[in-house]
Amino acid sequence: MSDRLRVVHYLNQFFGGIGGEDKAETPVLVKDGPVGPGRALQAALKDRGTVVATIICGDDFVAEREAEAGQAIREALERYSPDLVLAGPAFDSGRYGLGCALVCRVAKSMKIPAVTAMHPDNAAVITHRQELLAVPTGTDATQMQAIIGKMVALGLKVASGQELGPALQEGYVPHGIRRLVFADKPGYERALDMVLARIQGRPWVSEVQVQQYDTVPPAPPVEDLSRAVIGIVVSTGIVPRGNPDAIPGARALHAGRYSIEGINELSVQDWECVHGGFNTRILNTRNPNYALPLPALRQLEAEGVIRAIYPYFYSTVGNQTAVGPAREIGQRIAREFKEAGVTAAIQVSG
Amino acid sequence: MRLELANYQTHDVRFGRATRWRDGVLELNKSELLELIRQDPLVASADVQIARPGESVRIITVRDVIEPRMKVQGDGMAYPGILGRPVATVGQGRTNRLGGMTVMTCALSGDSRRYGLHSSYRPGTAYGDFIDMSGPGAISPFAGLCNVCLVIEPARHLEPDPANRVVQQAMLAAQDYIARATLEEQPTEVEVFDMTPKPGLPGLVHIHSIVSPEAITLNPDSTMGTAVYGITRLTQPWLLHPTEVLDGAACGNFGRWWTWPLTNTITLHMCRRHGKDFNFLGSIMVRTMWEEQRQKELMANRAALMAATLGADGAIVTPTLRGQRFLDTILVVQACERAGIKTVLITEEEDDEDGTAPPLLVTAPEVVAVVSTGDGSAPGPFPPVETVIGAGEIRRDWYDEQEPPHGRYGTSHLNDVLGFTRLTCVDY
Repeated sequence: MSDRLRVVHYLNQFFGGIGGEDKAETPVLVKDGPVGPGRALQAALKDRGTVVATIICGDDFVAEREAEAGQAIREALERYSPDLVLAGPAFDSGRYGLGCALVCRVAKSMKIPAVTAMHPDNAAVITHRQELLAVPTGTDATQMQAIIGKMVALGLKVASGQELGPALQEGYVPHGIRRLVFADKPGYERALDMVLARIQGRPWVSEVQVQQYDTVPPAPPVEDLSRAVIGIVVSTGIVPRGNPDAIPGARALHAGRYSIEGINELSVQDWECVHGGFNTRILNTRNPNYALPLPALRQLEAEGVIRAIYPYFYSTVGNQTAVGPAREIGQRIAREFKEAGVTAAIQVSG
Repeated sequence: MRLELANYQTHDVRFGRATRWRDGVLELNKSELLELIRQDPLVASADVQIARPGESVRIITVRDVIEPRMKVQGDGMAYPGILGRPVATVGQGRTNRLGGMTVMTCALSGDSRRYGLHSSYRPGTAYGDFIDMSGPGAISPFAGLCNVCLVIEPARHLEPDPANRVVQQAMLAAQDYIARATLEEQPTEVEVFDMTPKPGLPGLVHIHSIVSPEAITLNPDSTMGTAVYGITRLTQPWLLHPTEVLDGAACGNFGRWWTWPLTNTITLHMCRRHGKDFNFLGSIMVRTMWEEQRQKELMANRAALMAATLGADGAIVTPTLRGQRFLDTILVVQACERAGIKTVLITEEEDDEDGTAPPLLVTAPEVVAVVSTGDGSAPGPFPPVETVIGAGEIRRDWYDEQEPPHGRYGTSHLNDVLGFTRLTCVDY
């Protein structure tokens, strides 16, 4: 790289000097050269780069009118054709974080390297984890100088086309991607180092940090059970004898859909359990209803406690199923139940 | 407790006319050993082969791995309780061990349908269930050891559990036979483990999860899991002195979770650092596979109370993967943290599904300190080999290059939950 890099910087209305919360509706505007924290950025870049422009946008505007803001940002980037985009730091501000993330995502789609900085729990990280290259920050804006230094160092590295190493080593917020490596010591030694550090109050870092579990808000309670149609889902692997859909004993990628219309009780002649994770002897020789409690539900139906049981149930095996396929199976079932007017579902886990 | 561990470090094992240990070389009378093993009428066939470090050898169908050990002073017998061995408390006196080598049993797995378990085999999956002794794929600690591979075929009419009993019997007979070769010889070194706590040091415990096979085999005397003094039943947590673990008080495999890593890696290492960096107060074995949540919570609470009563400041918690067993382990971490015990969990991770799935099956807010032993995958490559050791008819493709296991769907190359390898995962 012979010449200085052309750098475009992104700020919100506050750091961009437009105003406070009352100016949060400000649409995207572009100023030549560095603004506010951009001056520190320029200083950190030294002769390696020049802040040619600063994109500024109000937090509400960017959060609420993403498509419009994204288009304006794209036009600005096209106009200035930067070699590197730097955004923020946004610290723990969620809307500012989303603005920084939007700029980075637009830049990425244009194959322009982009680096931002924010708190690892910022909503933008939660939403766009894999797309962001973000320097982790605390919540304290007085750390601005140090963080800008890190953003510039990381930015120069990616702009030069260098491959990045692990998140902890390079100083970016993890993307949730885990890669196998060899550590310098066996695991039990590292565990002892870690537990002693914890006990003695020395610094330590867990080797598993990003958790990113899906959180599913529960549906509201059923208002009137006597009017409810109940769907049945089992991951206990109850299938028609012969297993027509070849549901495997473990690592299932699909679910079967079977009719129970007019059936009050599952019999071992007609049904079997194909689960590979527990002993199925009793289910398969005596009583499959333990894994799909149809008689009890039919009784509730007869007594009028519930209105009806949905005539089809879904079955898979919940044994070593990966998260992705499990999510797809669940979404498909939920779609059918919803379209068919099922009020509530019972999931028998296995 | 005070245990002297006399090590007869072994750098080679050779077949010979006699069985004796001298200057780091074990000479093994193959026919005498085989004769001993074939005395069991339930052994249909048996063979012994040696796999040495650096050889072009791949070992498959490994059932269990143990280091030959023998008590020469103090009560009891090494690997006590199993298959009728005495249950006298071990962990004191003196034990001879042959460091640098193992007895590795190879046997075909039984038909698990007999226990109502449907096959979880998935065609096209690289399971990684083999050990390479050389090349870039030789990443297990066993690749650095001389492994006496005992290939056993139990009588065909046996169900998996009694068949496993035959394999274990052969393993113990072989290990007893080999360990006797140390008698009258001078050890390479003697390590003394005086487990009296030293004042001023933090106290640590190791809490290990072991699966009870009782619910799977419906047999309270099942051999198909790690036994504590021969017991595999679904019982409340066991407190063992670390030196009891060194004497093999917890012995036997569950799947490919073998005995050797427990006696030879984490426990031995912690005993060595006892009295210097910390006091190693105890090894707590928590049975998993309880059926109800409240039972699982109760066992976790009991384990944490044991640790707290011992005065533990910290705990290393290790699971046996996966599914509900991992949940049991997470509850142990939670109970320990709530009891004020700083806890580190060592575990293998789940497949990250290209960054879309969490590394742990379940977690809890208390699970803050984790050591990762990788995700079950192995980098490989595993180039072709000249010799394959294993039970049954050995398929031709076992000699070919093996696909590196991905770790997907719960498969694992080394099943490392004790941190005995250097494999780990890092965030990108």
